[in-house]
Amino acid sequence: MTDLAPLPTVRSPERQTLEEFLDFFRSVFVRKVEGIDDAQARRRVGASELDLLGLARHMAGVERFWFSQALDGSDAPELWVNPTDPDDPDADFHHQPGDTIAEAVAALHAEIAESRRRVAAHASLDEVTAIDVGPPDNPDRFGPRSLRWLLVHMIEEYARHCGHADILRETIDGATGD
Amino acid sequence: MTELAPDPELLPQADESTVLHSFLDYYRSVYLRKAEGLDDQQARTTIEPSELTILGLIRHMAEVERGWFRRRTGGDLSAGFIYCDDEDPDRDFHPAPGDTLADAVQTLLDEIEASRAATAGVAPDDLMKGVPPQQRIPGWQPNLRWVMVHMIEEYARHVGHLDLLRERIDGAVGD
Repeated sequence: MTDLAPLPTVRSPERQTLEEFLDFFRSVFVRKVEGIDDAQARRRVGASELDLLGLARHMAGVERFWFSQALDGSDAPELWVNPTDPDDPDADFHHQPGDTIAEAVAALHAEIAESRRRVAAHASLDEVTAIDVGPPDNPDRFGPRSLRWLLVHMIEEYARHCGHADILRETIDGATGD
Repeated sequence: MTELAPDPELLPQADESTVLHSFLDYYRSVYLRKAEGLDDQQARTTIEPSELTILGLIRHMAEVERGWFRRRTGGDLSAGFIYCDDEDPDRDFHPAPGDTLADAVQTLLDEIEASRAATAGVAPDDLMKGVPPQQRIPGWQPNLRWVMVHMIEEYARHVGHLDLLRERIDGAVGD
């Protein structure tokens, strides 16, 4: 089981604070998707199509998108492809019967390590993504974004999905908290 | 309705303070939208075994806004708990039968206004002015930067709870 990262320090400069919060929520999220079997990882609540397997695959893909593909302009391929629909943009959530939570968690750990390596190579939070991101048909929202923006976005992205994982995990085995 | 800062996607290269305030305001607005149009019974829906409800979560964030911004950032330690007390420190999550969603939403809006007044002119490196004498770690005093990032993730994580609750109630998803 992954250890919970240290609580973010409370009087630190900007970059340290953002990196500590991101690492903390990475660890909270990983712990929510570890220690369950493949059937538990497919458990859903109500009408929602979210499950822990899909969320784990999603966050591995999100790490790759923001830090490898967007920040650095890497041509790393999409992590997940839907074999029945190669153009499916939600292939992460649309997993197949043979897909495993072990594979998803391993991919997530690998992508987190890759993201950390890439972020460390950027000296300033003012540096911007190598590619334009956002909806191409909306000029107000399409363009480069700063590393500062990316880090805050990733903190809230992990936190919101931790909220989904909180409820899913509690329905699976009653586990709550960080 | 509270005046909210622009969507963060419109500020992709802003300075630290602008980015933090825009993300926080964005999540405040998503949070309030998740409760819009519900009646008091829907606002009490749970996904068992979790005891979380939309009514409880709306009340909770009003308490959290007051604690971090009016009390600690602004230094107004005379502002006490809104819902909680010694008998039930989680009373924000435990509304009484007559408590309404409309009252809870208005209280949250009022606290957001008070929070925005408390953070006006405060820089990310500035330390909290309010240090409650009875806090767990004596003298613990974060800077505004830590509080802002904490509030963004606190709202975002609870929006994750609201996402699943609202989808269960009426199928509504998204921001």
